[in-house]
Amino acid sequence: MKLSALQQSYLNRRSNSFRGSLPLDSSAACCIVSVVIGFRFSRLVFLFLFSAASLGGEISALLVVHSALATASPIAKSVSAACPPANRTAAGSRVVVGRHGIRVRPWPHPNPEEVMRAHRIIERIQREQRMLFGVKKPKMVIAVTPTQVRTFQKLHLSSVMHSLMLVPYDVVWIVVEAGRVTNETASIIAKSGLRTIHVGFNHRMTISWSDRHKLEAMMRLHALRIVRKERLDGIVIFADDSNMHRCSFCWNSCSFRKLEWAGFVLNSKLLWKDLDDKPEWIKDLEVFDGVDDIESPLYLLGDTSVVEPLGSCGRQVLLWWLRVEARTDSKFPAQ
Amino acid sequence: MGVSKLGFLGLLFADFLFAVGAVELGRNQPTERISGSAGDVLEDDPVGRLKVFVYELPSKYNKKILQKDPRCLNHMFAAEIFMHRFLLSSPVRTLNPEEADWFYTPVYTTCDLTPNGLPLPFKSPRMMRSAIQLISSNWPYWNRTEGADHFFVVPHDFGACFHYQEEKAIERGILTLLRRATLVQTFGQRNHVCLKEGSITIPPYAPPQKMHTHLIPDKTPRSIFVYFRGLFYDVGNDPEGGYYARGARAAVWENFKDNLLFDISTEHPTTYYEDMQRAVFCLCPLGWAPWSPRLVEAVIFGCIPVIIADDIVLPFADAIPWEEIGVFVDEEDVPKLDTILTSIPPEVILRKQRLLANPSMKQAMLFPQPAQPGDAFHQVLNGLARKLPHDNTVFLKPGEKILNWTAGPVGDLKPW
Repeated sequence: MKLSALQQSYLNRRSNSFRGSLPLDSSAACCIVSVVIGFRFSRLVFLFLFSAASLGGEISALLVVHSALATASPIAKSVSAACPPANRTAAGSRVVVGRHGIRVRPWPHPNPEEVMRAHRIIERIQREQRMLFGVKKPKMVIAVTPTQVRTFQKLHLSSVMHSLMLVPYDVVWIVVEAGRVTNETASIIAKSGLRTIHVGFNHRMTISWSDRHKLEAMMRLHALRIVRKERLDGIVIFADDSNMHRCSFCWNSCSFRKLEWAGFVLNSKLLWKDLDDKPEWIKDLEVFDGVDDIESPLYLLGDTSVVEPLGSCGRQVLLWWLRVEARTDSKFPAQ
Repeated sequence: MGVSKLGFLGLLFADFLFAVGAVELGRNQPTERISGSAGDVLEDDPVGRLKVFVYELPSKYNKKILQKDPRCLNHMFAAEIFMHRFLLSSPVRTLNPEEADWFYTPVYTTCDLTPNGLPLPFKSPRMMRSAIQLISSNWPYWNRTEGADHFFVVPHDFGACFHYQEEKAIERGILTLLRRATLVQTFGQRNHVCLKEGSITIPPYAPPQKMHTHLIPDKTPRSIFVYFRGLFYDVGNDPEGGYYARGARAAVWENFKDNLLFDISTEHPTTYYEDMQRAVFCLCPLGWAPWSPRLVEAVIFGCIPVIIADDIVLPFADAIPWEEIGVFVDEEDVPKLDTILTSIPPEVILRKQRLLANPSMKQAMLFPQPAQPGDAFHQVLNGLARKLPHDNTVFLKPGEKILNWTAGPVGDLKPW
C-alpha cells in the first residue's frame, strides 16, 4: 500500500521536529553524482519522489541513494558547485531556497573584550532590576567577623570576603582580630575592595573550644561598641569566619534555645548611646564591660519576645557551619 | 513598655512592607509605549467597527475533525480552531449576512495529524477547495466578490501554499481560489509567493494558561546572556544539513556551542519557561518556516527576541514595532552573533525591555480562552477593520470572472 508506505516514512523519523523531506532535484542529482565518484557514505536514505501531478499521497518511484557527510571533502564541494543553482523564493528576493552552507568562522573562541561587555550588560540589567523590584532604600550591611591568624584563616576569611563582595548593597566589614592587627589578616581583607574596619582585640586566641567561643563573643561585643562609637547606620550581621560550638543554653522563658550569633540580625541604631526613644528591652553595651561569659546574642536583650523571624528563613537552610581547622600547633607553609 | 516594643516591631513591619511593595510592583514594571506603522492601535476596540458573518459548514470541515484528534487544540496551529470559537460568540458576529463586512469560513486544514502529532498538508488544498465550493453554491456572497470580502485562517507553515517544505510550497503557490481573499496566517516573508499583499500575519498559538503558571518574580536576576532550546539539525528530514533553517541554526551551534555566554541546547528542560525569564536575549531563528512559537514566548517572558529569519514579516507588524523591541540579525551574520549582541549599548537593551514589558504587547501575542480585550483575536479584527471600507475592486461587475477554478495541480482538483 503506497499510502501506508508514506505513513511509514513519518513513523521512521528520528526527530520530533517539523516535517520535511529532502528536496527533490538538486539533492538527488548531487547524490547520484557522488555515487558515481565513489565516496564513502555514512547513511542510507530513502527518497520518496513526488511528482507535482500526484501529490495526493501517491508514490511514483522509490529510489535508494547514499548521502554524503555534512562535512564534505573538497572534491564533494566542487561536485556540489556543479549542481543546479538553488531556487529563489520570488523575483527580487534575496532569500534563496534549497541547501545553504553552514557558516563557521575560522576562530570560534569568544573574544574576551566582548565577554566582558556581555557581563557589564548583565550587571547593568540586574542593577535596573534591583532598582525596579528590589528594596527601595536598602540599608547598609554591617558585617562583623572575629578572626585570628591560623593555618586555615585564609580559606575561611576569603570565603566570607567573596560572599560580602557579591552583596549588591553598601557593606562595612568590621574585622576584629584576636591579639593584635597583623599584616597577614590585613593583606587578605585588603583585596576585598570593601570599606573595612580592622581592629585588634587585646586577648590572644585560646586553645580550648569553650574558651575560644567565649572570646569570640567578646570580640563581637567589641565590634558592636565600634558600631556605637562610629554611629554606623545599617543592619548588623555576624559573618563568622571560624567554626564554633552550637550554644545549648536555654532560658526559662526563652523559646529560642539554639540561636547562633550568625543567625541574628539587628538594627545598628539600637546600639547607639544617645538614641531617642531607645526601647527598654535592649540592654546598654556598658553593662557587658568586664563580662566574659556571653554565650548568645539573646544576652543583649532584656525581653526576648521582641525577636521575630525575618522573611521565610524557616523554610530554607540559610547557614552552614564549615568545620575545617588544623591542629593548633600546625604551620601553613611559608608563602 | 509597649511603645518600645512597637519601635522594634515597626522596623520589621517596615521591612515586610518593602517586600509587599515589591510584590505589588511586580507586574507594574515601568513600561514605554510605542506605536507601530498603523499608530497606537494595540488597544483599539473592534466592536462596532466591523461585522463578521460565520458560515455554517458541515461538521466534517471542523468539529468532527477535532473530535477525532483533540491534539489540534494544543499545537502551534491551534489559532484556526480558537478563532472559530471566538467568532461564534463575539459581539462582532452578525447573523444577517446582508450587513456583514467580512465572511468567515470555519475549515480546519491543519488538523489531519500524523501519529507524531504533526499536520499532514497533502489533502488541505482539496479540503479548502471543497469548502469554498460549498459556500459559493449555497450562498451568493462569495460569487459577488469571488472571496475578496472573505478571510480565511491558514496557520500552516507556508500559509495557503499548504506544504511544509519550502520548495514544494513555492512550486504550488497560494491556492488559486484564495487569491482574492484576505489570508490570516502565521507565515510571513517579504517577496515570497506564499505571502500576498494585504494578509494579516498572526502569532502561532502558545498556551496562555501554561505560560502563566510558569511566571517567576520580576526581581529574579537575568543572568543568562543568550538562551535557546531547540533543534540545530533536523537529522530525520535533512541529514546533511543546510536545508533545515537554511543552515542558520546549524551555524548557531557550530559557532557558539562552547561559548559560555550562550545557553543553547537541544535538551528541553522542565524550566524552559523559567529560564527564558532569566535571560536577556532569546534566539528566534527560523526553522523549516521563518516563524515559531518561541517568538511569542520571548515576548511574554520579556526576553529580547533575536530574530534570525531574513525578510520575515512578523505578527501584526503594522501594530507592533518589532525593530524596536527585538534584534534582527541576518542569517549570514550568525557567526558574528556574539559581536552583534555585545555591541548593543546597555541603555538600548533596557529600553527594549521596557517596551517588552508593555502589557498590550504581551496581550497581542495570545489567544486566551475566553478572549480578552487586546488579545490576538482582537488584533485580527482590528486588522480587518483597518481594511474597511472595501474598495471598488472588491465587487465584481455582472458577468465578470477572475478566478480560474481549474488551476493548480491535478491532484488538488479531486473531490475531498
